[in-house]
Amino acid sequence: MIQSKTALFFLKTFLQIILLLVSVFLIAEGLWGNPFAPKNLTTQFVWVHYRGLLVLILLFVGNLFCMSCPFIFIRNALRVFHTPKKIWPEKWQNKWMAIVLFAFVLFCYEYFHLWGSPLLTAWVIVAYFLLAIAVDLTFKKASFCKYLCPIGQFNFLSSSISPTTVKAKSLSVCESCTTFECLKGVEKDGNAIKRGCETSLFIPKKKRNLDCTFCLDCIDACPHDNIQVALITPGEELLESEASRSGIGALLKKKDWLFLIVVFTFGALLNAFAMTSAAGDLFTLLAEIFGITHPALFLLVLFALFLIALPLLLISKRSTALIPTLLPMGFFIWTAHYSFHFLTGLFAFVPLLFKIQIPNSWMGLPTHMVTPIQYGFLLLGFLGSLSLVWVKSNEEKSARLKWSATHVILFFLSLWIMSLPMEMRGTFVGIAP
Amino acid sequence: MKTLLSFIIFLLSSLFCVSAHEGPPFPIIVDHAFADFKLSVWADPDTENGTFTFYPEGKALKKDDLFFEIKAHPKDQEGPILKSTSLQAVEDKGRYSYNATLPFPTNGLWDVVVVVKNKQNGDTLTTATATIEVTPPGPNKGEFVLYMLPFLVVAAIWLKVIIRKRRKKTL
Repeated sequence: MIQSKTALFFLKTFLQIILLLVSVFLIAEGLWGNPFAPKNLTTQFVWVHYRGLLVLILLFVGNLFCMSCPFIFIRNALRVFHTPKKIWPEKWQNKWMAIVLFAFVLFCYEYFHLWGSPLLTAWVIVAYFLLAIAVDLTFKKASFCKYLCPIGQFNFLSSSISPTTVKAKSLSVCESCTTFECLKGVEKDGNAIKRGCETSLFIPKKKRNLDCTFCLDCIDACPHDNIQVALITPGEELLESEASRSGIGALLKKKDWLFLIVVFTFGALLNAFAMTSAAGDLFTLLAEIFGITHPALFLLVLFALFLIALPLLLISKRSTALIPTLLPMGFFIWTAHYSFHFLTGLFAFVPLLFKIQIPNSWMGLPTHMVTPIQYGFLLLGFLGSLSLVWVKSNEEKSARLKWSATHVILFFLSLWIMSLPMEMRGTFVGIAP
Repeated sequence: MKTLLSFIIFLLSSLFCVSAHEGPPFPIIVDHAFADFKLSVWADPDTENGTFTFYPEGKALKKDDLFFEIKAHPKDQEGPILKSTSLQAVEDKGRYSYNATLPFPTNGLWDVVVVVKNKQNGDTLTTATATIEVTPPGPNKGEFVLYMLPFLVVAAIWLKVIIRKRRKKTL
């Protein structure tokens, strides 16, 4: 792992600038480029490459995307000129708004066919910038990240499976600390010269990655040089879901967090299912039986089915203490889905970017290689969830058996969905525009 | 341990029963120009169910201007063996696409001919040809096991580490 503070901050700033430049480019390409999605880099990069890289980097490295967030780079720059005064309202200091936004983004993706519209994709990026800046120039700390950002919530939950975390080098050093700069930051003459953790994570009490944006402000602020980015066993955070954790509290007592985990997991199934031919068949069926023909109504039915009915069916009579065991399955469903599109369309941007035609076989990995990789990810998710049920918990055997059945059903459901014919949305050009 | 192993073997065997994900379509004809239009064709040429999507482009293009025929025969053989016609346009944000399927009976190389016709009078506006490789959908069983093996190894290692960590915490 990178141990040098300087190297870490150089990496962070470098990645932020890169992502900022890429964002500006994608906005311009989306607003003024070819309106046909397969011929536009915005739709390709955002819906194929970004999402695929997101899950794979979360899996193999860590929450680099929050660390290199271009919205926060701009926000930090603007905060030099304007210091927010307000504190995020206490009644909203939870994940409920983030859950609504997460579901809203998934809904908009389907309803507006965002994958097929470079223009709308560009406006989504612009809207993200504006919202992040508006919220964080009004409210102190990282209110947007902690309470609103849908991508952030996705990254927080997914990073529970990441192999890295920000933690203390030695807890005995933390025990002797009385100034707590990791949380409060550093002030001089009443002015903040270094930020502390803006998502309120106190390093000695922090349990791995939930709510951690990997901003590294704690590393910068700590006067004892006692904080590091360290390797951990993926998923070990989920062994400690009973413990109270800094900035969050006891996870199992936080209904908003448990609901977020449920929406994250069942949202993965929904997002994959909505792309399949079965979704089209369902639409036809609903039109025939109930006369539902409006796409918005159909989507509402689909969302209710996957985010309300299916969870009620599979987990409502289960012990809530084992809800966090959904995370491996949920994360790997997202990974299987996004990595399929990413790996099969890996170099599909080359004809667009470099104005050259390349053979179809060079566009990405062949399907016969990627399909087993997909199923392998699903298997990892299933075994991860199942092992957490049996390894971590003090629950009764009957509760564990019920949850095991839930995970078996989710596993076969995800296999079935991934095996259905899928729309290849907005990908594969091979065309020099 | 035996139970876990049996369960994993059961899982693996059940995976064989699940059909493989159909691969993504890829372009076989790219920006073929005719009159004031351009045509691109995407194909997903699986055995028994090859699908084709035609994407005409042009500012003056209207929904009922065109229809498409596609014919295919094994490479180096004369005459069309398969034929399909696509009449209905699918509209998405002002763009039209047309779909057709061909039930390829065998794998291998096939020549396809795409014929674009005027829907009003049936005149042929252009033809475009391409050679495609028809393949069965998904991997064969041997490849499947090969690519899945690393995941099983990772899962086994991870499980062992997690169990050890849990035991350390409870001691």
